[in-house]
Amino acid sequence: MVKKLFIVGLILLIPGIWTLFQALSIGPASWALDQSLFWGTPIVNFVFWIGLAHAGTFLSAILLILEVRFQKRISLVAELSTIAAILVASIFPLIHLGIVSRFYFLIPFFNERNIFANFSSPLIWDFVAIFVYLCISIFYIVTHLLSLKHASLLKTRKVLAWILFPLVLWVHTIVSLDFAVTTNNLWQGAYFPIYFILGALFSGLALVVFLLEVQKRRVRKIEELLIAASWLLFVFWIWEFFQKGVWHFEVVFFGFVIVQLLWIPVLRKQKAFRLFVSFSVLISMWLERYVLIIPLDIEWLPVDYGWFALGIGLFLSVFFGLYLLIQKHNPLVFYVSAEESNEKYSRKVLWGILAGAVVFALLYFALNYPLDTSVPLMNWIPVLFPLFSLFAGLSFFALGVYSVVPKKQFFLVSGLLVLILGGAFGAFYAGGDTNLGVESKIISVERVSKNNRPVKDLWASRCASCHGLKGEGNRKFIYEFYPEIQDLTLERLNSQGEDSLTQVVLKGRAFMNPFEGRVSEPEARALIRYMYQLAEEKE
Amino acid sequence: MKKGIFFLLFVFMLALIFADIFFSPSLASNTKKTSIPFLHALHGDSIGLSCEACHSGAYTNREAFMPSKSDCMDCHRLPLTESEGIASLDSALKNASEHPFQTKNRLPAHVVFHHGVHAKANVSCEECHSNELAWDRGTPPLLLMNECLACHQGKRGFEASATDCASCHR
Amino acid sequence: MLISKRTFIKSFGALLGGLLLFGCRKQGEKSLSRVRPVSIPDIKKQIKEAMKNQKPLDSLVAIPVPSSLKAFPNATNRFGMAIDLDLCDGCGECVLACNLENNIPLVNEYQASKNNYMHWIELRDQIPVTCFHCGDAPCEKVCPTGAAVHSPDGVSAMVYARCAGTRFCGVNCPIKIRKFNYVDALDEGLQFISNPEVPVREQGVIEKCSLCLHRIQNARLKAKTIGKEFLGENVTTACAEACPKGAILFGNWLDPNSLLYKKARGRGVYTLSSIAPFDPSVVYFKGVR
Repeated sequence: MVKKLFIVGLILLIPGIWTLFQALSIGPASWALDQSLFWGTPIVNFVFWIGLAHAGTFLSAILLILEVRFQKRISLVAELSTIAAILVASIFPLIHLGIVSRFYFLIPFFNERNIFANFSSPLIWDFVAIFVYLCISIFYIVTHLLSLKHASLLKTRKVLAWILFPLVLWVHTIVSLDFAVTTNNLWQGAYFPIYFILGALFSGLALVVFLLEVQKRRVRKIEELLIAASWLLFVFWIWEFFQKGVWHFEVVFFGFVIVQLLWIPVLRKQKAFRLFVSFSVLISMWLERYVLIIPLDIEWLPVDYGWFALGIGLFLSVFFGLYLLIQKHNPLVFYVSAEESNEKYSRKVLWGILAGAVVFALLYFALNYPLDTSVPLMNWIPVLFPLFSLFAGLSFFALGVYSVVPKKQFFLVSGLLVLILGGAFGAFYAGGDTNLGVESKIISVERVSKNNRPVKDLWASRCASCHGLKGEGNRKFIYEFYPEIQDLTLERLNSQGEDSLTQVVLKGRAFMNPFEGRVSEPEARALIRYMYQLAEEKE
Repeated sequence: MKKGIFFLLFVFMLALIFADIFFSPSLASNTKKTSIPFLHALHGDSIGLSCEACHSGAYTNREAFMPSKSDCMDCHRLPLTESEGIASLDSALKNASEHPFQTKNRLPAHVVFHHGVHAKANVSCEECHSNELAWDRGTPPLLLMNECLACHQGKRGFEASATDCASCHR
Repeated sequence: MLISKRTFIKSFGALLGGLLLFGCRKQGEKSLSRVRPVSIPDIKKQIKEAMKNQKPLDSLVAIPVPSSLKAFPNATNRFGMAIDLDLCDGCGECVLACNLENNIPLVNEYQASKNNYMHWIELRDQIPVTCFHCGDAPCEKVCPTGAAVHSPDGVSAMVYARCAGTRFCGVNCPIKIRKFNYVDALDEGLQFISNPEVPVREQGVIEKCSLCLHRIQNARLKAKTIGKEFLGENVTTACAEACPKGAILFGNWLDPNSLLYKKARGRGVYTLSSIAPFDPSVVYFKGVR
């Protein structure tokens, strides 16, 4: 079954990769969008898959913390599904960018051009939070796999679970803020974070049901949780109906009515029915995101359909690929899960986290209450916690792994990682060449403009090199090679007359070149008048 | 352990620096080659000429402009030195086209730079264009945004100036 | 280790390759050979089509005359416009002038069939609607890269080179007036360059009315070279220039000598109801107060 699904995944990847290619080469015009609908199906798929990703860890980490017994039976599957789903989810926002190669503009990292990302945008929080979440999820599953051999790592695993628990809630809250902070009435509301988290949990539970069935296993508690979650969401749907008048029958039908059939024992015992319910929940959750993001009827393009192939294909091939890989190394890992450590985790950690939360809440209100919400520090808070988690998670993970893995191997792998990270940040810092735009123009000589140029400037640029700024002659140059210039006096100017002097400027005389074409006639006249002015000043 | 951490830090910094150098914006010079051998070093302060004498817009205009052949001929109608090369220079000048010097504008289309405003603020040409000898070597001007910003933020000894995006970008 | 060293190295090799690709992406200038010659009939045709399918308009609400910006309380300039609805008859001349001034590309047939024109000024129910340059602009708050920023002059500007195309600004604009470059207009031969002052936008960036920012910039630089303080004299937008009825006024809301400031006296000042909370700089004049 596992192998079959892996192959199904690979087959689905063929149209999936075609979709990816289309999307990247044509750009956002390749899926259904217009000038009033800017977020299309990739965002729907992103929210859907990131929800699935959150639920996996949520189930594994939170159940570990709460020391629920069935945790060990689903944890590895849940963690693996997280990794696969988060990989799928992270593709969509990247494709969705208008200019994909500029994705690094969204990283709040210094750059050579001194531009910093805009911290009041939820997308920046999103980017940081999801990146951190991916990192810690990888740490978490690697720790899990290593702890099968080295029991000492169980402690690290629990620490990581404690870090992940609030992080999961945090990250999905931020995803919901992408919508809740906008001016769109349908997306506004303080309930959004909880609504999103519940939706994620609901779809994640359904996915776990499916993944367990694949292994020919069944955990009744998950089914009970599924029913409970469906009721909670139903409350939200009712509430939304009364508040905003939003009602989507198909979402409620697939997500609530069908789930209630699990109450019937005859149906519940059927494997096919359980699978049917889990798919129905997934469909409902997908539709819920769809009607949220795309309120209008739009005409789908092939790429919109292709996302399904891409998402499902990538998920199945990554999940089952990793599954087969892990199974090859450790055939029993999915059936006999690791023994949980019996030692009660130190209460100090619990108290520390609680105290941290209290301090944080105080800080939040201290910043929020008297001041405006646009205080820059406020906007930092959404990313401060993920960054703190990253730091803590990385330290615990590195220390844990360092204690069990051969030193040489540890430094080889981490050295490589650090090399790539440093290279990436260096590249993002430099940012590459600036795009010059359309072919740059050639700069050549100054054109004689219709608007007369200021005469003083004209004198300085056109005449002063020989005649001097004040008409005294450029002593450094002219006297060495050319005959001496006549003194600038009013008497001499008057004897020549304005008209004939203007002609001298334009047509040239003796050692002076003609300036016709470089100076317009009114300008030449103005220059002569300027000479009068200079002569007056001199006398 | 300590050694290892230092090793990792070292690798990180090394990668950062190398990547930065590799991906940094390049300063390609695009002045077209002309048949006229020209040295800024001979035409500067030593004979009392300002940049404006040839680059007629340098102190007042958005573009600085390049000199036309007539601009050269204003002074070069007489052989100006007794040195040997003057004959070949004169013939090169004689055969040159009306616009012998041309340069491609390396300023991206979305950036505004006004030479006149900077001259008005007493920023000398050398601040961005380095010195005469460098021009003759073909060193391009400093067109990097961080160089612009450093000055505009008041870090280079000039009065701080506008740093909002829309004053230089369009 | 369960994940073998080889897999590790392989995956990081792939990452490194990706980075290299990032480094080698095309950054050069585009050739002018694909630029379409300016053809006013073509542009007029698309304007006419757009005018046939006008989007609905929100209701108008009265607001006070724009005063200094909250973000820049000490600024001496706040540029803006007023569209006199008593004079405007919805002829669409302003749209044409704007297209020519800002090199706004034509759209291909598919986009035209979906009514996705790039025009910065749209007629909605015969009333010209453009970016209102909100003082408290919702689009700027959500732009992750800082490409949409407010200038101290009151212009809600777009830095195209910084735009990554997340389109969050477009989503958050209450009137959806921001335009996204869905197609590569240069490649498809839809781009004309009638005004070299305005850069051509690439595929994948958002654009919108800039209040003829290039004109403001040029005038300011000119004034500064002479050593004058710039208050927006001798500047006007292309649409204001082109309006046959003189219904569009450009000016400085903070300068008592500005024509806009003077004309606002005694007039009823209106804006769209969905824009009203955001302190717009572009307003409608209608009737008397």
